[in-house]
Amino acid sequence: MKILTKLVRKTLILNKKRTLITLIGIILSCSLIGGVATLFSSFQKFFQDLTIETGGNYHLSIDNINLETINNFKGEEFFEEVMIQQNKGFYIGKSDKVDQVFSLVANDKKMFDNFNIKLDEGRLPENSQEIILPYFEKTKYKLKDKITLEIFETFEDLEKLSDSIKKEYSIVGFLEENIFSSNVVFTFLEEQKSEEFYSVYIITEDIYKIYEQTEKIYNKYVDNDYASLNYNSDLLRWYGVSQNENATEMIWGVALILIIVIMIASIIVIYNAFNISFVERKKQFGMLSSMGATSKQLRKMIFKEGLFLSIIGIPLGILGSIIGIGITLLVINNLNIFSNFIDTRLVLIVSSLSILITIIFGSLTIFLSCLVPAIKASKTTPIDAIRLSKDYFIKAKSIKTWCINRRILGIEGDIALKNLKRNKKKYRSTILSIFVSICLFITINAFAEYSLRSSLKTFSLLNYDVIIINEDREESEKLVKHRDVKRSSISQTFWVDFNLTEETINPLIIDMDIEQECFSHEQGCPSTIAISSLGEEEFNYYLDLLNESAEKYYDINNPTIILMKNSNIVYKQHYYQIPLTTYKVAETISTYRWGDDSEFNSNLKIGSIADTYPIGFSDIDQNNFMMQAFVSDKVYNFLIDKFPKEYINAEDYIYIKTDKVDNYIDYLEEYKEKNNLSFEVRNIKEMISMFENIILAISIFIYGFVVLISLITITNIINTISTSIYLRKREFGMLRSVGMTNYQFKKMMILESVFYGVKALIYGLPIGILIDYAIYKEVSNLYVYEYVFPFKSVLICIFFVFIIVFITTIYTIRKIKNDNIVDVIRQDNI
Amino acid sequence: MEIVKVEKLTKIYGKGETQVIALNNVSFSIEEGEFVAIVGASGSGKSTLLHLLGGVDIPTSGKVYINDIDIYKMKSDKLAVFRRRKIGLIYQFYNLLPILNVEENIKLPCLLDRKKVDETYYEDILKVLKLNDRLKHLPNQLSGGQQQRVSIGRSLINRPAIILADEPTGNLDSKSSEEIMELLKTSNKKYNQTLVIITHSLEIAKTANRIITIDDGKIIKDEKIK
Ligand SMILES: Nc1ncnc2c1ncn2[C@@H]1O[C@H](COP(=O)(O)OP(=O)(O)OP(=O)(O)O)[C@@H](O)[C@H]1O
Ligand SMILES: [Mg+2]
Repeated sequence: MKILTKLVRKTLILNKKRTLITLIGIILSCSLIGGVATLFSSFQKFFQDLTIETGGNYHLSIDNINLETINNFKGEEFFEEVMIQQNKGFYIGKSDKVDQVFSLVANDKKMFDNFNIKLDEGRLPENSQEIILPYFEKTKYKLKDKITLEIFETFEDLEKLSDSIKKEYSIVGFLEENIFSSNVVFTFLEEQKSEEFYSVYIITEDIYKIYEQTEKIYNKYVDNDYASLNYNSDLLRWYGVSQNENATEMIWGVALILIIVIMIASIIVIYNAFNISFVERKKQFGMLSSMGATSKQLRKMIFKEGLFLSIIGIPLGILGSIIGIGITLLVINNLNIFSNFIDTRLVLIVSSLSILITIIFGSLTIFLSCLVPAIKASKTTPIDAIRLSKDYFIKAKSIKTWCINRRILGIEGDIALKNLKRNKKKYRSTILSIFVSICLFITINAFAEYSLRSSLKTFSLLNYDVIIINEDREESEKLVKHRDVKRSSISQTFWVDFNLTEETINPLIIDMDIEQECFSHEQGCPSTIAISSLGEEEFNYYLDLLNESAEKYYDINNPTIILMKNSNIVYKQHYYQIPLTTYKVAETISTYRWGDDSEFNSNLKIGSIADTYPIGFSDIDQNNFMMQAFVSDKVYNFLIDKFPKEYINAEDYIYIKTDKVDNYIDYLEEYKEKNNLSFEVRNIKEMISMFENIILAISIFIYGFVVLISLITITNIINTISTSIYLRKREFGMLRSVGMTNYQFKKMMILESVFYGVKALIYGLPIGILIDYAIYKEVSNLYVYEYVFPFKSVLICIFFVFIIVFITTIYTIRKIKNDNIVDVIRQDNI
Repeated sequence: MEIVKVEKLTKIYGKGETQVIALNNVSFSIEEGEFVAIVGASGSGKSTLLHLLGGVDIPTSGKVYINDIDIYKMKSDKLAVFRRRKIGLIYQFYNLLPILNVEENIKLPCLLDRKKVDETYYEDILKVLKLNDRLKHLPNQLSGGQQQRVSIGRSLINRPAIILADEPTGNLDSKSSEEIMELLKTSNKKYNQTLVIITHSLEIAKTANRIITIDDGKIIKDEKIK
C-alpha cells in the first residue's frame, strides 16, 4: 500500500503543471463555495445588526405587567437583560398646518442603551422632567425650552379625548432625522410604582432556547389576562428561530442554489482533470493490476490523489474566499450606499458554519469528481497495459470528415477536424463547461440588463435634481433665483374629470378589453386629467420648445391646454405608453369634478399635443389611466378659483435642474435656517446615485460570480488542450518528420482550437439566447420593452472563448515546437 | 556523384554519469543510387545515425551534407519541406497517424505538399504492399506488419532521392520481407534512388552494394560488394 501512495505522490509531482492547474480549479471552486457561504453569513449578520439598529436590541417584549412580575423576571437567569418602558400617554402638538398626535414614552436606562436612539442635538433624558423631541419640532422649540404638555391617557379621536393631566418638561435633546422617524417623544423612567403597569423588553441568554424557556418563565409569573407576550420576530427571523417565516431559510436556500451551480461547474472541471490523469496512466494501472494490485487498491490511488489535492486545495480555497469577500465588502462599504440612513455596516463574518459548509461541499465536489475515474481505474485489467487504452480506439466512421473541408482548409484542417472528432469524449467536458459559462454569463447579463438597468433607466427619466415643497409663492420665486439653478418650474396641480366615451377612447384600449363595465354608464367612463401650472418662466420656455405662440394660452375666456400625447396604461401586468384618447388639436374636452359637490365645469381647448415634458414631469410620474395637461399660471388660477379652497393643494412643487446640487442644497438649508422657514427639500440626484450604487454593488457580486465560474472553466480549457496536445506529441513528431512545416503545424492546431471553440459556441449560444429571451419575457410583464437581441453578450462570449482557446493552444504548441523529433517519436507513451 | 556526406558526426545523449556516446566522430559518404546496408549490434548507434541522416535529430557535433547542402544549417521549415520531398524515412517502430486511414497515411507527404498524387505509381506501390483491401482502414485495425508496410508506402510515395529504412522488414515473414526488399530495390534502380537500410539480416545485407558495420558508435568496417 505504501508503494502505491508513493506512486500517487510521484505522479502528482511529476505532472507538476497539471497538478497545479487541477489544484487551481479546486481552490477556485472552494473559494467560490466558501465565498457564497461567507457572504451569506455576513449578510445574515448585517441584517441582524440592521434590525437591532432600527428596531432595538431585544428578543421579546411583554406588555402590561406590574412591578412584582418585573422583579421576578429580573431574578431569572435566562433573561439576561430586562429593560423597562412605560407608555405615559398622548399629547396633541398644535401647529399652523395640521395638529399632530405625539405619544410620550418613558424609558429606563437600559432601554435607552439598547434602543440606539440617535440624537441630532442635546442629550438623552436623565430624569422624569426631561424630554427629547423629534427633529421636526426644532422649528418650534429650542434646547432647554420648557414645555407644558397636556397628556391624555388614551387616544382615539381628536373630538373624543380622555382625561388628561398637565406636566411641564424641559427639552434636553432632539432626535436625529431618519427614515424611521415618527411622532414619539421620550422621557426618562425614574421609578416604578407597584400599582402601575409597564412593558419589558428582554434579551435572553440563549436565543435557540427562547420559546420553551420563555414560556416556562412567563407561565410561572404572569397570571393576569391583559399581559401579552410578543417575540421580536423581526430580529429572530435573521437568527432562523422565528416561529413563522424565517428569513434565514430563504437566504440560505438561495445560497444552496448558488453552491450547487458552483458544484456542477466545478465537478465538470475537476472530473475532467482526474479523468485525464487517469487515462494518461492507464498503462501504469494495467501494469500494476498485472502485478497483482487489487481493484480496491487501484481505486484508492485515484481517491488518494483527490485527498492530497483536497488537503492543499480546500484550506487555500477557504483562505481565498475570506480574502476575496473581505475585499469585496470593503469595496461595497466604500460605495456608502445607505450611510445617510443607517450606521450598520456589512462586515466580514467568518463563521464556523461557513467554513464547515466549504469543507463539506468542497470535499463532496472533489469526491464526486474522482468517483468515475476511480471506478474506471478499479476496472483496469492487465491487458490494458499491453493493448492501447480503450479511449484510443477509434472507429473510422466517427472521424469521417467532408472532402469540402479538406479542399478549403487543406490536410491540416482535415487532421484538425478528425482530431476533434477523435477526442470527442475528452473535449466533451470542456465544451460542457464552456457551455455552462456561456449560459451563466448570458443569463446574468440578461438579468442585469432587464431588471437592474431597466429600473435605473426609469430613474434617468427624471429630468430634475432637486425638489422643494413650499407653500408661499413669493418665497418659491426667491428660492429659484440662484446662480446654480439652470432651469426650474414652480408647479401646482389639480385634477378634473371628463367622460371617456367609446368615440373618444383610443381604439387600441378598447381592444384590450379594459373597463368594459365603465362604458355601460350612459355618459361614458369618468377619467381624469391632471392640470399643472409650471410658473411663468418655465411655461414660456416650454412653449418655445414646442414652437407654440403664447397668446392663446393666456385667454381665460377660452382656457387652452397643452395635452401630453401618451398616458400610462397598465393592463394585465403590462405597462403601455399610448394615447388614452383620440382627441386632436383644437378639440375641446368638457371637464367637471366627479364625486364631489363642487359645481366646477369647464371646457378645455387643446392648444397642442406634446410628447416632451417640461421640467419636473416625466412618464414615470403619471398615474394609470390619467392624462396630463399643462396650462399657464393665469389659466390655472382662473380654473381653481372656480372651486372650493379645501379641494386645492396650495403647495408649490418646485423642480430644479442644477449642476451643483450640493452647493445649492447647502444654500437652501442655510437660507431656511436664516429665515426660519419650513419648506421641504429632497435631493433627487443623491437618491439616484444611491440607487446606482446599489446596482453597482449587486453587479459586483453577480459579475464576480460569473468571472470566477469562468476562471474554473478556463482551468479546464487549459488542462484539456494542453494534455491533449502533450498526449499527441508523438503524432506531431511523425507529422513533422514527414515534412510538416511549422506554419502547417500551427495552422492545424489553431484550426483544431477554432473548431472546438465553435462547437462550444454552437451549443452554448442558442441556449444562452433562449434564457435571455425567457428573462426578457418574465421582466416584460412589468415593463414593456422592445426585445433587443443580446449582441453584446454574444460577442463577448465569442471573443473570450476564442481568446482563451487560442492562447492555450499557442502557448502549448510553442512549448513542443522545439522538441527533438526523434525524442518525441521514441517516447513510449499512450 | 556524392549525395550524402557525413563529416565527423557525433551524438551524445545525457550528461555526466549517464552520458552515452551513441555516435563517435563518424565520417563517410554515399554515392547517388547506392544501396547501403548498415549492420551492427543492438545499441551500437545505427538508428541514431539514420535519424541524423534523415534530418529528424540534431547532432552534437559534425555535419551532414545532402546534395552538398548542410542540412542542419537549414531553417526548420525549409528542412521540413526538404524532408518531405527528398527523404523517405521508415522508422524502426512504425509510426502512423492513428486518425488517418491507410490511403491518407500513405499519401500524407503529397497532401502536405498539396501535390497531385501519381496514381499509377501509387497503385504500383499498393500492389507490392498488398494493402489494396485495407485502404479505408485505420492503423489500429492493422497488424504490426501491415502498419510497417503502410509506413514504407508513405516513404516511397513522393519518390524521394533518399530512402532511409530502419529495419523495414523486422516484423514481416520471410516472403513478405523479400517482396518489400524487392520493391525497395526496384525503386532504387528505377528511379536511381539512394537506399540506406538498417538490418539484422545478413541475407538482406548481402544484397546491398555496400555494408557499413557499426560498433559502439564507430564504423568498424565499410565494405563494397561486387
Ligand atoms: N534519447 C536517448 N537518451 C539516452 N540514450 C539514448 C537515447 N536514444 C538512444 N540512446 C542510446 O544510444 C545508443 C544507440 O542507440 P540506437 O537506438 O542508435 O541503437 P541501435 O543501434 O539502433 O540499436 P537497435 O538495433 O537495438 O535498434 C544506445 O546505447 C541507446 O541506449
Ligand atoms: Mg535501432
